Formats: sequence, structure tokens, C-alpha cells
Amino acid sequence: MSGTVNPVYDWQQIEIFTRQILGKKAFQDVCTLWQENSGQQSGNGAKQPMRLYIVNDGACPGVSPAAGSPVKSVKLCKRAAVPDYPKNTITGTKKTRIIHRYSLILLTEYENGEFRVITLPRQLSAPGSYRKGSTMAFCGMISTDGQTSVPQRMNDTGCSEKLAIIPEGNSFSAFEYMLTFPLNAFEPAISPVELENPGLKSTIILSNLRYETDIIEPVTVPAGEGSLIWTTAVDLMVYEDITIKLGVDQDIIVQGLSEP
Amino acid sequence: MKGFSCPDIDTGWKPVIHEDSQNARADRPSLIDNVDEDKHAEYDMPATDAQIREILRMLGEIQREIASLKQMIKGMDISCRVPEGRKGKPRKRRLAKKLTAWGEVDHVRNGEPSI
Repeated sequence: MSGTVNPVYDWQQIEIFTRQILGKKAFQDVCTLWQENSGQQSGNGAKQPMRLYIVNDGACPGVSPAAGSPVKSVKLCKRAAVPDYPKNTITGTKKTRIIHRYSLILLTEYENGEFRVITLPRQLSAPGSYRKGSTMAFCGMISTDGQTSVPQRMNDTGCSEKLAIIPEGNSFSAFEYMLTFPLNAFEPAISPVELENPGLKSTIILSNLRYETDIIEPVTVPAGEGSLIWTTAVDLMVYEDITIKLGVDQDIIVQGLSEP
Repeated sequence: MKGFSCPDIDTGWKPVIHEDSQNARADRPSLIDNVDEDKHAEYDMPATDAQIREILRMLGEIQREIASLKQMIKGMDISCRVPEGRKGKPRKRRLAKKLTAWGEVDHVRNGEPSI
């Protein structure tokens, strides 16, 4: 821009298209993969790491099964979001809900130096529902019938969270994390008129993904039909920051000069 | 806690979905079944707008039906007998007749004002 001051009569009417942010809410360090305290399914407990029982390398089901090689370390390689997720909905009770579906890809190192890639929840099974060639880990979030998810819930001052596993055929396709919170949590608060605006749009940003793993100990898990299989108990938690913005498109007219 | 080189996920700006209007659509399919869904998607209008549009369309149809009924009535030769109104005079006469029969008033018969 030139250093000279342009007189007001040189100004012109300029129409600008922009998006006005009506409200914003940022959640820091949200744990999106967890398990409730054992025995508490009420949603009032505390988040605990998800306990995975990763099948030892070389372990096979049996009455007196071979121990195989236990897990030495676990690394999260990738978190893949299901297409069209995360998404946002406004509920009838004037709350907003963020729904996120994702899968995790873990790189597992065993004591014998072997490495394996595990896709969760696709290769997860319930204890007692071992599927040869498919099951790489067991988890308590799947009911004993091996077909349905046991949702984990958490309620805290108006906000509620739910974690479930989405079934697909005989296996599971994704974790589904839901975060529901009142609309007055937005900053600034969203008015009812703004809420009914047919042009209302939202954007969700998931950032700063990080995780915690803890190798516990080798343990036998029921594999079904009276057999057992050797696994290694591993605790896993995933955290991230979740930001959601609500806004509307705006055409605004200003008086001024545009850069040539 | 381990850092993880995972790219951030940004959904971009998308229209907000109202769960209640979704349920309403599921509960009342007949009302908006005829709405052009492609058009609806094209303009990104929420279901409430589609319902308003449907109501307006139905109102338009009702208006057209009323107009056609009017035309039909105009074309028909409907002649109604105009009821003969009972004028005051005969009634007054009858009343006066009754009253004089009872011997209560005389001025009614003479047509004088009843002050």
C-alpha cells in the first residue's frame, strides 16, 4: 500500500464475502479412548486406560497353550478417521453433539524381536471369542457374545461422553466417540435465533493427538470352547484437543480502497 | 505421554444437522415425500424449510380449488327465493289485536305513540 493518504472521496463500496464465527468451544486433552472403572457402567466413574490383551507372538489357543513371546512395546502408527467424520449435530434438547469414528493402527514389538501391525477395532474380539486368523487382541468393550459393543459412558457437569465400537459383519469397523454438551458452553453463547438460522455451519478440528501405553504382564485369556490363549495385557489411552466453531456466511459492504 | 506425528483433522465448514428435524422427517414422511429431494440437497436447505415450502404448496392448491369452485358456482343458475320479510305493520296489527283483546291498551289501536 502506498504511503500517501487517500482522500475519502476516492473510497469505493467494496462487497466482501466472509464467515462470521458465532461461537467457539475448545476442549483440551480430551481422552477419546478409555474404559470405565470395572463394575461401573453408570457414567459417573473415572476414565481408565483401555485394557487390551494382545495375543503373544506364536501363541495358539489350547487347554495348556504355549506362552509364545510377550509384547515388548506398542506404538500408535496412525489414527484413521472414517470418511465424513467427525460430524456435528444439534439435538432437540439444545445441545450439540460431536461424533467421531476412527480406527487405530498399532505397531507391536515382541520380546523375540518380531513386529506386527494391529488394526483396532477390526482385529479385536471379546474374551472367549477368538477367531483364528483375525483376532490379534481382546478387549472388555465387546460383549461376551462377541457381536455387540459395551458402550463406555462419562458424565460431567452438562457434558457427556460415550465410546462404543461399531460392528460390521462379524468384526468391528471403528470406534465411535461422542461428546455432547450444552449450546451455552459456546463462547459467546449461541442465541436461539442464530441456532435456527438455516445457513448455520460448523467446523471441527481435532489436533495434538497423543497417547499413553503401559505394558502390564502376560496373562491367559479364554479363547472359547474351554481353551485359553496367552496374551500380554497392555493399557492404552488416546488424547487430543477438540475445537468446534459455529458460524454463518456473511456478505458485508465496506467503504474503502482495494489494493490494485 | 507420547507425541504423535498425526496430521490434524479439519472437517471444513459443513451445514449443521438438526437431530429433531431429522426425526420429524422420519416420523412424518407423508408431508414431505413429494418434496424434490435433489433440489433440497442442491440448495442445502434444512428439513424445516422443506416443510414450509410444502405447506405453501398445499395452500396454493387449496387456493386454486377455491377459485375453481367459485367459477363452478358462477356457471350454475342458482335462484333463491328471497324470503318475504315480516314488516312491522302487520305484526303491530296482530300485537294490537291481542292487546285490545285483553283490554289493556287502546292507544295502539288508534295509532298513538305509547309514552
